[in-house]
Amino acid sequence: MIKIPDSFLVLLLLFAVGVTALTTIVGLSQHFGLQAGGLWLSGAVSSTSLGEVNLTINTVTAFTNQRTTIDFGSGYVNSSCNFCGMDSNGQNISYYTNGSNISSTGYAATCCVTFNTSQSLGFLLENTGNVNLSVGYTCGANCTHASFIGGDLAPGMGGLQIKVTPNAANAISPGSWQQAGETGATDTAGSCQGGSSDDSPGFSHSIGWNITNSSSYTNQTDYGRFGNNTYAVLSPAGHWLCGNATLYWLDSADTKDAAVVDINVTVPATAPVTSVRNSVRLTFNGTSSFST
Amino acid sequence: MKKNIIYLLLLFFVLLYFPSAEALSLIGKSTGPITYIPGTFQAHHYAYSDTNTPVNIYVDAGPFSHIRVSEVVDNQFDLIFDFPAEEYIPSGEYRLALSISENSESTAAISTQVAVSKIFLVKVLSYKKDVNIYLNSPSINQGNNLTLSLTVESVGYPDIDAVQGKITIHNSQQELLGTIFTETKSLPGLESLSFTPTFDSSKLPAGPYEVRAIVSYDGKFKTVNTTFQIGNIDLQLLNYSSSLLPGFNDFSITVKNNWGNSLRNVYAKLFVGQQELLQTPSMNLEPWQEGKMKAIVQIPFGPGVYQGILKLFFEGEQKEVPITLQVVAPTPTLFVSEKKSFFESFYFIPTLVVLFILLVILSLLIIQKRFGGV
Repeated sequence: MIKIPDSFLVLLLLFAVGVTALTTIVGLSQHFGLQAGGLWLSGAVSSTSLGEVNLTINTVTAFTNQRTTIDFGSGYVNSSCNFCGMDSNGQNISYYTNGSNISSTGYAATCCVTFNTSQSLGFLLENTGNVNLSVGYTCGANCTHASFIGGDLAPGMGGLQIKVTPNAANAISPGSWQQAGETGATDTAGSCQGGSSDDSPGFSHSIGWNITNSSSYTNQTDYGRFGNNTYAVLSPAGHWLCGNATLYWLDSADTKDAAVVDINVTVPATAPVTSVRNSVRLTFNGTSSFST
Repeated sequence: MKKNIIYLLLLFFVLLYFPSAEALSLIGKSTGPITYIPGTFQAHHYAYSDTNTPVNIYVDAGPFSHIRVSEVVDNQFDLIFDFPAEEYIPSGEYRLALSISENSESTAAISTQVAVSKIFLVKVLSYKKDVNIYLNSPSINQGNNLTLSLTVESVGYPDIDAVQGKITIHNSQQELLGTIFTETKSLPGLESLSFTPTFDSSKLPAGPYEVRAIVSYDGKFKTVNTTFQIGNIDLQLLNYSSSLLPGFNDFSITVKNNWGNSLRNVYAKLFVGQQELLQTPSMNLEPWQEGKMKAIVQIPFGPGVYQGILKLFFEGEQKEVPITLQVVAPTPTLFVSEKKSFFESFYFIPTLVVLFILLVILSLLIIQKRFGGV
């Protein structure tokens, strides 16, 4: 025998009535809200009076990197390989002596023996202040492939490379992904979108992170994609990544204030064995304008 | 005890593998462009935060050898712009940078640190005698005199011995109506002075006028022009809804107060033939202000062109302006609903919830009845 308590049924009915009442109130509010100021208290001004408030707004030029090191560890190139390619995003490449190049993720990079190939995070840069920034990097210590790793590279190989990807999934680069850990809200739009948003040829100063050492913003082959998700050889002299000394394109809005910098290294089989640990020291700089 | 050790080990590994972060903030007021004045001194206060590592603070001062950073106390410091009188800096605009960078050690193969910079713009003005000039001539009412304002701003460091302005007034046909010479004054470097001569415009009719000024300063000249209006108590019709449909229409009339005082109780009536079609609500207009009056008009005529009259009322006066109205045949249009479907509306989910609850109650009652519950 099943006995359902009346109180339970009453409770359910009360809940249904509550939902109905709430729906009615919200519906009425939506219907009359714009004309009558709404049924709710709001920020709309209903009366005015004179007052005086003294307020000083400070500008905050703030810049954050959520990962401080990338360490591929130590190791050697397998004897059946010419090169071991490792990436901070975990996309490694084994260059075999038989000419085959096999991409792999994490530990499956056969040519990279005992190296720490299980990287999956780049440097997550974020504008955490209240003003727009330009972003650049400088490099110290062993900033060339020759001084960092050494050995002979194949023609066209970068050796020691850097790339920037906006930290919003598919916002600019199809297939791009988001790295967790932004200080503010996760981006929903591509960062570094200063200048004209017009994609037609001839419109300069357009979209994107500029890491390709392109000195001309009117280069139409690179148009609008100055290095988004594209590797460029690390410049020992440093380079602007977003904007420059007069253009501050990295927005402070939480929805589009971050990017991920990845590092790619290629270790040749001919790289000299060394007991001295070589290093690359990158300084990421966020710069704000005098007018903000 | 064993449990605690496990928790401690877990915490250790979490801390070990959790990605560390670097951050640096530079906090201070915005300076805007800074004008270089030899022999002056200014300090701007800054603070940095968000970092636990030692920092380097440095300033790229360009050719300014006396711009420096003060001692840092509690993460706060001053950026001091010291411009000695004896230092010569060529004219131009200079972008300087205040930077703070982390100064941390790392043994990792690829390591990073962050830095923040703030750009400063210092403007070094001309070492020659140079001025910017500004001329202001307000619109006035008929019968009044015109008081002009001619401002001369020195944008060079040297003092100017003699500054004088010559002002001419012209009508819309470019005819010269009068000339005013200002007095001659000296002007110290980087300072400004104003002349406020009065021109007798009491006899001039209403309409647009032009003022031209030539300023001479130690043998050099600069010119500037501007316009002004002599107004009368009048309401000018600027625009109206000339194309209408048979039946009800929104009708708007744009007018301008052609007077240097407020116009109160401004409204309009529309007549076609002897028939009054509408009267707008009344409004007030500030001096020289434009305003739009709106009303709904019912057009009792078929398509065609009709001559009408707009009667404009203001301050107890009225004027009539002939107008042309074109009544056009309505174009049949497809009705497109902008309403959201029910499934996209706010009501969909609550309705679903209520229906579900009622269904549950009904089921419970049926079960109770079928299995003999009371």
